[in-house]
Amino acid sequence: MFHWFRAWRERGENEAELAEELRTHLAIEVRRRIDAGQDPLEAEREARRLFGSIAAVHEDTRETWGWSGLERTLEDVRIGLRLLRKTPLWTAVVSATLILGIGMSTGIFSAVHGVLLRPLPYHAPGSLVALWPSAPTAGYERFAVSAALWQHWKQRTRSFDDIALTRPIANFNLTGGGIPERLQGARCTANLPAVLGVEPLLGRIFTEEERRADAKVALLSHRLWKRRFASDPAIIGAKIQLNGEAYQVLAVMPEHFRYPSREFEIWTPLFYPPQEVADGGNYQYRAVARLKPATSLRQARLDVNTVMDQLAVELPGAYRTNRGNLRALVEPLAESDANQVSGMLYALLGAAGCLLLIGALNLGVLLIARVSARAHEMAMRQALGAAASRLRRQVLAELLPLAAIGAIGGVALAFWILRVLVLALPPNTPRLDEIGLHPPVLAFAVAASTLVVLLAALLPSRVGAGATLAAALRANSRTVTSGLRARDVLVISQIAVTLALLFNGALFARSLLRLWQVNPGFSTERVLTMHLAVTRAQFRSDRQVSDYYDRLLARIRSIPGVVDAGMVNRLPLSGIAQTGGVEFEGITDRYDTDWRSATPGYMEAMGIPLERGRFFFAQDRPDSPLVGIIDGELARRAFGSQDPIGRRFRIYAGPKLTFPWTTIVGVAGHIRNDGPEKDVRPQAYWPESQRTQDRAALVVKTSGRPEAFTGAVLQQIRAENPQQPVYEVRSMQDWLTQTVQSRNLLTGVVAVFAAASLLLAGLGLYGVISYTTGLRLREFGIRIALGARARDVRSLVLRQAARLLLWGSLAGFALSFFAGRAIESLLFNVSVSDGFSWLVGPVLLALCGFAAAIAPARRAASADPAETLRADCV
Amino acid sequence: MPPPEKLDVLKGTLDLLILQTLQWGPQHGHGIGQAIRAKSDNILQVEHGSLYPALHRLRRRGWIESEWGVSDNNQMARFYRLTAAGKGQLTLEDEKWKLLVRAMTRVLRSQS
Repeated sequence: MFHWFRAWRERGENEAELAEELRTHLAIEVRRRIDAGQDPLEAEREARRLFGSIAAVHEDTRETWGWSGLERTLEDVRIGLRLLRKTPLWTAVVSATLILGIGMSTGIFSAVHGVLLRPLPYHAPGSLVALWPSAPTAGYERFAVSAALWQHWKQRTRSFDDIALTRPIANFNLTGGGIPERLQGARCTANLPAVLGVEPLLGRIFTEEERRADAKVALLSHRLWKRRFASDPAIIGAKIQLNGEAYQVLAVMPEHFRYPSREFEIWTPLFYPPQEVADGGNYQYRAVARLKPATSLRQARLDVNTVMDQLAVELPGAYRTNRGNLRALVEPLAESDANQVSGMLYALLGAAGCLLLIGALNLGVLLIARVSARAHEMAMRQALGAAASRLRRQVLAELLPLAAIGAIGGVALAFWILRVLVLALPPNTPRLDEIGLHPPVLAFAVAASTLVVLLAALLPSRVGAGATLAAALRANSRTVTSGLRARDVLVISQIAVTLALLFNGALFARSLLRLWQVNPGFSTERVLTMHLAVTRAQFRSDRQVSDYYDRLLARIRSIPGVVDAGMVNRLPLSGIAQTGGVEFEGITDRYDTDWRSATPGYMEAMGIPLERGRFFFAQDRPDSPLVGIIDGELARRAFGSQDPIGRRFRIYAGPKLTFPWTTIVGVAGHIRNDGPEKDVRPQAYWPESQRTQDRAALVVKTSGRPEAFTGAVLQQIRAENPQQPVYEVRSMQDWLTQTVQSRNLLTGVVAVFAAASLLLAGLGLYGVISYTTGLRLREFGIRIALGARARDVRSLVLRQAARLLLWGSLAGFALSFFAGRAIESLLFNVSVSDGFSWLVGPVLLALCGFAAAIAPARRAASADPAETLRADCV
Repeated sequence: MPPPEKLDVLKGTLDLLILQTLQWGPQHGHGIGQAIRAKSDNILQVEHGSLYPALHRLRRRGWIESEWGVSDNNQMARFYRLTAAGKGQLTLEDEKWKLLVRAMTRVLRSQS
């Protein structure tokens, strides 16, 4: 290696010295001849003639210097660069294709890497898993964990070092020493930091005893400590006011501790009443576990599900549904967190891969054309003694600059794409801030670029070196057709992949159209929303809370321009659920519903229609008869065509708990609470005054732009209670946009990719048709000379294009079938047998193909026999 | 039998000829070519295309070394000199050559 390096450095010197040596040699020879009496001019000429080619001596001597391998490669690269410069249009097209393909796929790969592949910042992240109960036969792919289930798992499974439980929904109103602030916090078991392998930065973690005793202690995130407490180490042991109660700060966590996600800033002991375990209900926690060393996911899955089967036998009331036993999922933590977006990300990556593949095929087509054009040159060089391997290597080395252009340009493009992509990804995407051009991403770009260029070069380099000498040397327009078959295959593959991409693009576009047609059951127009959580220390009783809500609403309704206002415990589309069973008097079936507590005015403000009876009104008081509203969907399921008004229902939360009966006073329209894509469950409503909740979403119907009312509403809330934190102030339209964001992104990106690949396939087809037409001009000339009409010649060319399109489409249909299968779960209300989607690709391709072939066909039809025949004699 | 024409130096023997020529003292490329021709009575002809690559090859192997100097008729030239390793190599090559000649002669005699 060093030897090479030295030789490389000395190379310039050696070269100059050799030139000087050869010059002196000639000078000596000339002098000798002059001394012998020869005329000086004659002597000079004779000496040079006898010496022969100086360049050849240089070349041969250079070989002995030992660095000729490297030198030759660089020489080839230099030749490659010169060739690229000589054909700027070709180079521009190829570079643009490469940069586009590499840039798009690198951009999307960096998102996949940041969200899914990048290791979590915890110790040995590979052995961290998330556990979920699952009831696939009942239509619940996954749901949250209950405290009872956690205890069973902890006691009975053997695959885990430990399992931690977290309740991710815990709101803390931080007051005192600054403006009141609502913190996103979590309650967790004492072993959570240990399971994740995180030590506190300062202080200590609370103990399991403190957790069981519901100790008022807290762990602060590094960010909160810096922001609110100026990184003061004295905070350890100090008291802070959370929800009006004093909590002692036990620890500051290190910066990378952000479980379950980066929004979380405070952790307190997860206390649940012992009764909760006995009842077995309340599925609202998250479980994270660390696998024992050398335990595989498969073993863990088997282990947990064996436990689930035991539980189903021992406690059928809790762990068996009428459609089978509850199951459990064990998923790698990072993958589990990204559950909502991973399908979309992989679909995007697949689309980018297709585009890259089409780019590679296109490059292959262009290279074959180039190599065929140089077949004569290559054959001549081979005849003059160049080794076939040397020629092949030269073709490859010429392409190295292209790979470099692709990688560098691609990374630059990816950098720009990322800025747009990160904004377009759904905000609930985990680790969104970690997406970036990390080293593995850059390696991906370089590898992809090199691979694409090598792939594209494989065929042409074989054509270049494999051409038989004799054939190529006597080549004329009739015989140079080497590489034609390879070109056909490339174009057909290109058409096939493009068709698959168009098919998927059409399916996604249809899904999006269908989604727009869905009526979510409520109105998002001119609706302002915000969240508030009451500080219980301030309002001790439920009655105080509901009275406080009423006062707030009265103030807000007094704002000019406000049409109506109400509150609900969980806002539709906000992604936060409160669900559970209800049962009806005299009906044995139980129903899984969204449990909602609403104030009068909520349904009016949200635009939920009334189907029967009445909405809640101010006369529904804590001491008035208990009432409830069900939605139309639940009414139909429970009562069929009977009138549900006057019937009674109640919450069902396990056999050991009894809730009071409430009388149905109205039937409201059914809403899609989780978003237009999912229609998960019906709704049951109770008056906020009779089932009071600490957390409320305020819904304000306005007569103008909802954002314009933010100030006035906030002012009224502050006037009523300056200590009230308000968070997530957004219009309902904003929530809806966020819900459908991933689908918009998916559809948009796939459509762009499909259009780009259609363009590339069109270019590829045009390249092949126009090239072969050029070769066959002489033949066409003869045909015309023999009496063929222009129309006949034209149809010859068009038929060639049609043949390529037909084969490509057939292959493409086969490919589409698999591509459709792969994305089936991402579709909405559209099946892979959607006729329109099957048709749109071939039609677009046919149009594009016709456009690509018509110009060469015209040229062929106007072939002048005199001209083409004469051209052959030159 | 017609007088022998000029012969190209046999492959593999050029190294031996160069080393042998340099035994009489440092010489430049042109001089080496001239010397071989003169000593062989104008029969052996050294192609420049093989002389210079051979010189550089021998130099790389360390059998000869070079240095710039002034020739008899006052011209700058690169002079090559035999090194100690080169002398050893010369003896070796010389013996090999003699062995080859003896063997060739025997074979050719027995034929006739």
